[in-house]
Amino acid sequence: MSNTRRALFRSAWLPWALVLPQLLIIFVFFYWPTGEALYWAFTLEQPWGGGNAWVGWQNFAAVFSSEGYWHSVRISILYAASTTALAIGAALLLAMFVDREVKGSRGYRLAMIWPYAIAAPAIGIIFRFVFDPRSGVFAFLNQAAPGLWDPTLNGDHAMTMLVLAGAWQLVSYNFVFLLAGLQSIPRGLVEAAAMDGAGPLRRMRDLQAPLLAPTLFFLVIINMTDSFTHSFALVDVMTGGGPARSTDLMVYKIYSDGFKGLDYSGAAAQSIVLMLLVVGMTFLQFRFVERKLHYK
Amino acid sequence: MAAITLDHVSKTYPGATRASVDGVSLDLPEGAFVVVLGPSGCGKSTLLRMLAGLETITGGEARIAGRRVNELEPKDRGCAMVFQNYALYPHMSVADNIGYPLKVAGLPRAERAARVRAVAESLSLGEHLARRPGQLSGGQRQRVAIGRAMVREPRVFLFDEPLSNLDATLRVQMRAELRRLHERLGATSLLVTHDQVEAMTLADILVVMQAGRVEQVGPPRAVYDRPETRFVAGFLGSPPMNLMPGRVAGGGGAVALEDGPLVPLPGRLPAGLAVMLGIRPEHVTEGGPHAALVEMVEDLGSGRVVHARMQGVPVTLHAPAEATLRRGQPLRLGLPAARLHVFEAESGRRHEPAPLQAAEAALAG
Amino acid sequence: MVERRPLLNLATHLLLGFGLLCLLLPIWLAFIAATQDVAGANAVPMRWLPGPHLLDNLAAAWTRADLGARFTTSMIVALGVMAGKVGLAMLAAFAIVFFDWRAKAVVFWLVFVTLMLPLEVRIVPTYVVAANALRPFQAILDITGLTGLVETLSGVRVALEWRMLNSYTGLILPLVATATGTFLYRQFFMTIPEELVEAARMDGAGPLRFLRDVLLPLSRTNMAALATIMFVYAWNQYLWPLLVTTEPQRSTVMVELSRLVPRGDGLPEWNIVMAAALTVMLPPLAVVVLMQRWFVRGLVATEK
Repeated sequence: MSNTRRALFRSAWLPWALVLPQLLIIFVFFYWPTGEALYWAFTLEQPWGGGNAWVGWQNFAAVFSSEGYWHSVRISILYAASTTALAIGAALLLAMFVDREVKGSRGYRLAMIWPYAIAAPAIGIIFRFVFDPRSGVFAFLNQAAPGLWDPTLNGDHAMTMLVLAGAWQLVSYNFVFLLAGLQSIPRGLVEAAAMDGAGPLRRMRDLQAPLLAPTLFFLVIINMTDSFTHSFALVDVMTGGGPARSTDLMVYKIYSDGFKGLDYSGAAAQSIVLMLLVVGMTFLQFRFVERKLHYK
Repeated sequence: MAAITLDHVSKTYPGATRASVDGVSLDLPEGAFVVVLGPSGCGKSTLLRMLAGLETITGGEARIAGRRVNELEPKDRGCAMVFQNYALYPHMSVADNIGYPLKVAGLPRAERAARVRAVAESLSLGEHLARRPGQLSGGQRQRVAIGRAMVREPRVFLFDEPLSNLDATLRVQMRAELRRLHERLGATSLLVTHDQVEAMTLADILVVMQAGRVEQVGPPRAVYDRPETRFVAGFLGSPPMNLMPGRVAGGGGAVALEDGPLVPLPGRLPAGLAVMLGIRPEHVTEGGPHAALVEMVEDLGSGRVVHARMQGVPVTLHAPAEATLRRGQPLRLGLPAARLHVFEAESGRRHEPAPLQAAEAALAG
Repeated sequence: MVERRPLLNLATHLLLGFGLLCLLLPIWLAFIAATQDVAGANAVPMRWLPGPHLLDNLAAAWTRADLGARFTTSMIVALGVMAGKVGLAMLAAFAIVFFDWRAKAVVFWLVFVTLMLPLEVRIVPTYVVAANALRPFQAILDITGLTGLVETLSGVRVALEWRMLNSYTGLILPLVATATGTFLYRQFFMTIPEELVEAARMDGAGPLRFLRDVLLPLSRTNMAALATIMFVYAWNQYLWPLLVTTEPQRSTVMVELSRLVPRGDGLPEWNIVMAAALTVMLPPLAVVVLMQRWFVRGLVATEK
């Protein structure tokens, strides 16, 4: 917060009038629902009406004692970790080589950015087609060795497919940030390393990669949160959580328990857990942002 | 009637233990060019901004043309301001920048255009009216900022370090231009600066500030010749005045410098009083009663500045360009009594020696 | 810098080319499928070159998914979210940065906290609110006992209701309820020199005048950047429209696209599905490619 600005306007009502629309919208669609999720998580709707009864931690206990929930948590973490690793690794490699500014790197740059614009449902459906065991590339492999690939029956295959689609989507985003990070490394530093006799590959390893550490940390957090929360569309259009719940990620389970199973309290308790997870990671990121300011 | 009156004006920021501006009282006549001079952080900019209406006045009263302005919006005070970094609107053309105050005031387009053109012509900005500030040189931007202030035909011009962002040559040029402009417009101008050359050359009235207080007010020449406090003495002048600690001795007619010689005064002071004896480098004479050694010589081209030591006391003096002085060379210095300034060590205030009786003077001589 | 490394340059091209291939291949395969008939799309081994049926498939996808109407809906939603964000966020950031008022810090944090929780994690209660947007206010009236008070006084039972399901407001407003844009503007406003505000005050401009004459023109690039990001974000939304549009004739392109793939075991008509997928991803793609500069800038700036 800046309290140091001196040249401020003064008015008793104008600032309120200016923030009112935004405050109203976030009250109705952010704070109230978040509060209501909390309320539901600690209450249970009575079978014969009469509103919700306070049940304390009971909903959480029910969620935590369910094997299905822990399974969902495990595969969500697996999904988030693999997607993040794959997306950041690939983007780092691409960004470092685009940064070498060989001929045509402007073209490469644009070509690496556009996938960000592709909607999750669209890319999900395309990946589902590409990995369809009955047509295309994999049908051919399956003809040669039946059962080699079938994401509709094999949970590991389904998860692999999901991770590939998720990573495909995140590569562009990471690429933009990593390239920006690389380009903000002072030119003089790179030139000094070159004068010291470090070749391009050595500079990538000894100079650029370490200087990118803050950006990488930031991207890990963003990718993880994104994988925990925005994976819904991919799961819904590609696997529907199956086969046999093998891709029933946390955010998808909240949706299916809440809207299909109509268990608002259970879904609310799960939402709270997911919220805490996301908030925890965001806090990590804020702490890091503060630290980053000190670097400079 | 005074154009600007400050009556015990103070500013204390919330949470601050000390006032940034501490009870400043001034009466500035209509049409004067007033320069407020002081080191950074002395409160001079705050004073200007309080007058402009950009800071609230937390104590005392400010009047412009006899009207209390403490509670008035900046636009209603009849002041226009030129900022240190010009504060031009980067997305507007020169014409739009100059004309903006008139546009806000709701003047018809035709009248606006005419007044903008007239102002621009007088500042030789006529050909640049369609340009953006980003396409102008520093001096031109400065003139646009002045034009934006002029176009409102204000009663008072406020300048906040207007020349400090210009390079040295341009600064000299703009300084002269500012002075000519002031003469032509005849409005009261208040300029804040930390540059003493600017202050000396521009001011009709010089106000020296330090630590939120006014140290001295007067015509620049008078302030230079007769500084009221030790601070003013040391701040004004380059190289600065020699200030040497000592104690009144010899029956009150001389000062015994600490670790230095006895220097006769033009008058009489209470014996034993701890003082600072001051003399400007240009008044120290070569050839005199005091033995000294040259420590360093700085060549300024037009002349030389000699740093010497008179026993334990460092003394700076001017020497002609032809002088052949070298490091380690002995020389004799004179400190003419008529050129001496005496400041009380404790309060820093100027002390005027009481004139000697004619007989005493003869004896002393 | 003079540095001749022909081998490394070759390797660079190979690596970047391979990366590009990985990114492009799925789209290329989708495009091939969209140019085949059903048999061609499902052929084993698959085809690598386009067939003659692209226009037929596009036409079939267009009518089957009612894409004309869906495009209109999606466009209105995307533009609505974009305009809402660009406008509201600017006003809020203006109040937070340029005014001296006591509640400033509190308001800033209230807005800022919304950056932390994406819509997905509070989806169930948000849906319930969308079913009646005045529900929070009704609840407040009920809890404070005002409902009962009014009922005994006037005999009228206060029942506030504003159903947002299947409406544009329901699709748009919850997507506007985060601080992304506010934060971007705040960061930008903090870089505006104080003297500019002071000059405007000396020139007689009040806050709204300053907003219109100085801040708005200076914010143009930031507005463009935010607009591109928000357009892409809103167009590509899936979960929220899926929930809020219970009537098929109200849904967006993304929801309709997913409905083209049969649930269960039936083999989809991949040629038509792929044609539809390629069609619906065009608008954001066009925005990103045509406004690449603004887009990259917005992307980097919206993340603290």
